[in-house]
Amino acid sequence: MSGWAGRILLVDLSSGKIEVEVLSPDLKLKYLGGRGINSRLLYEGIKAGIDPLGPENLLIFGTGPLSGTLAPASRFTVTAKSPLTGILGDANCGGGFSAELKWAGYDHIVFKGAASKPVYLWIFDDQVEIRDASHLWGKTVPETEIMLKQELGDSEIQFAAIGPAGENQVGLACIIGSNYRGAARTGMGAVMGAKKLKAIAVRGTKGVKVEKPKEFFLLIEELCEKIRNSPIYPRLSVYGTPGLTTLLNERGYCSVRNLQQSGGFEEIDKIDHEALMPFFVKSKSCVGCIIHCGHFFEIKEGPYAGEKGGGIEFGAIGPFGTHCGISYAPAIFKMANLCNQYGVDVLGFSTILGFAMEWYQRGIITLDDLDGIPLEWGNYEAAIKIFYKMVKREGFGGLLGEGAVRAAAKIGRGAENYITHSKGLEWGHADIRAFKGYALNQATATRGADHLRGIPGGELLGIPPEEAQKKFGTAEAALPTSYNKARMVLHYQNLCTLADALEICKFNTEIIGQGIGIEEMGRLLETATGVAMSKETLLEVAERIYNVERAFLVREGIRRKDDAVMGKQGQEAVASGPFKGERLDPDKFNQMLDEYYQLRGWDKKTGIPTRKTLEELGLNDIAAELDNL
Amino acid sequence: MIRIKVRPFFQLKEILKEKELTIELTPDSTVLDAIEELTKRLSPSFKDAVIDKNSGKVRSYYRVLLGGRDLHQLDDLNTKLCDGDIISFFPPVAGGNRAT
Repeated sequence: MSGWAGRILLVDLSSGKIEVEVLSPDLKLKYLGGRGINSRLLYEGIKAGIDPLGPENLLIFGTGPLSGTLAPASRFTVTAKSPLTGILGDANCGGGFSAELKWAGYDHIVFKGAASKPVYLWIFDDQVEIRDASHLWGKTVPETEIMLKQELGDSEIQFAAIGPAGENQVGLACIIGSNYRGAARTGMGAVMGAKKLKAIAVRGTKGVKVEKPKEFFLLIEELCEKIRNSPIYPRLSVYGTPGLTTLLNERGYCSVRNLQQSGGFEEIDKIDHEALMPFFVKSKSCVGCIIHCGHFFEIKEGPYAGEKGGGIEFGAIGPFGTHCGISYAPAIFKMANLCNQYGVDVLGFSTILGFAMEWYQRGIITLDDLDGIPLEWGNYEAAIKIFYKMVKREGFGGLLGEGAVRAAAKIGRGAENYITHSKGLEWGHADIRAFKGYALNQATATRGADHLRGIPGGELLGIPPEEAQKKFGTAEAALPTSYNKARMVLHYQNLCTLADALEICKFNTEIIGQGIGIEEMGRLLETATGVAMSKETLLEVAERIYNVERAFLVREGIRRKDDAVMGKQGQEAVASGPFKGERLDPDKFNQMLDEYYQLRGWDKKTGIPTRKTLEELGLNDIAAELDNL
Repeated sequence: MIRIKVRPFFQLKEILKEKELTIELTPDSTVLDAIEELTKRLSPSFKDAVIDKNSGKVRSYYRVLLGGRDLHQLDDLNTKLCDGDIISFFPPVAGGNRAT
């Protein structure tokens, strides 16, 4: 089989032993790669109940069979048990690391154990070394990048590294790759820090073998044409995801001051795409992608003059902006840059910041709790002070770094009523109460509340009723407020699962109305690897991956009661905007969950995959283990 | 007469050089009437840019919101307007990457 490099790199950080294992045909065909194989390896490789920050946790990096080719599929997934949520953790990242790892001849890297002192892994094709990283410990990610490239004498090196937040095992710590891309959510940086692994640097010269080069090339041309001609392409290309801000604000999707208002942010003109354009100096693509959504900026005047960086997304503009009430664009750039430099999940930090601002507004926390820092709405200087404390794990900042659920539990005094999460992963910058399919996805996503697990793009961005009828069996699926969404959510979750297993960027897929759907994924797979899979077989792969992940959650104690939107968005009605008064009705939501379980083949009472479902997917070993719980 | 606020976005805003404009329509007017009125005021090609002649509906890549809601959640172009309603127009963005 072409496409895959066919090798897994096994690195025992405790003993220093490095081995190479063949990637089995079974794993390739049943899980494809990336998130799919990572999730299976994690399920098999660790026991339930282990300490996520202990040496028994695994840290797995995975590319896909299309990574390193001309396909827009050079992302990678990092998987481990999450220290933030205590369940499955994973995060997905673009840039150039994935392609370079494939060119060096590896599909996955599995780290086990923990080093006794800071180290980094250097990979140059078949030469793999664990090297001392004492001199890199304490450095920010950009500093680490410069030092690694100087030390290794190659400016083309690709890397994945942690900053001080990961070193200090902050719950919101992430892993940053080249081009300011981040494997952001669920605290993967903290796991890397606990293993004392500062970075992976990689250089590869082997390329990727493609099974049918001519057909593959023609298919890439066809898909590029399709993507370039779509109406989404220029918006992402010109403005990046900040181009969505005004639309989402008009639709009542943007949380304003932690959902005290939904959309209609009064100062949107100061942070929308037009306000940001003067700061953008260039944009860059990940390997194999024609969209080049990554926008790089430079601030030329004001208190943050000289600040340069990249990776500005709606995921920073929305949550720092409307959710925290910050309307000074350079401050948002500054804070996003700090997150990238110190290795912190931008979405996680900005979301929790908004929760904390409401705690302060309501007197749940006081200046004394905040070490004298007045965390008022829009006060970016206070937010930056809190950030520095968080990465050092000092005072109130340190508490926020543990994640919203733990912070709220420690604060008490009703703080939990002002956060939103599912399974411990915070979500709050976007109002999903009117978007019932979106809410169902957040409740059932296998890494906690997360749009990238199955955001129903058709519901959020709009889909004609006739298309909804055709795809999801009901025209009602086109209506955000309809609870007739189980089939729609299943479709998008399967699509996202396949995109993650093939490491395709979701911006190129049907998820946001782009050209790559399941059929195109099959054609890419066949021409690149020689493996022909029908749409039905690909959907079975997606179901298998999702059920392995669900089994991981079940093994950690997750049940039906946890498949919910918890906290503020689960309790309160929408306060203003187009969907004022709308709420998540518990009875209707539960009925939708019943339908979802039915489609998934999970027990309606417990939420556990049935033996029949698991056996049909060839997961007999997992069925046997779940029987014994 | 009823007064309707119109919010243009992206290049429509650039062309109009206004964040918001107000149009006056007779009572019982619909979203289609508002588009007809804007076509008279702005450009004869405005209606064709927004509405697909074949289907008679808003083009699939053009977003028109009434009070933040998609028209297909309401009564499409036949949705009746009330005094003070806000219609937002999101045309597709044209061209390639400007930030190079």
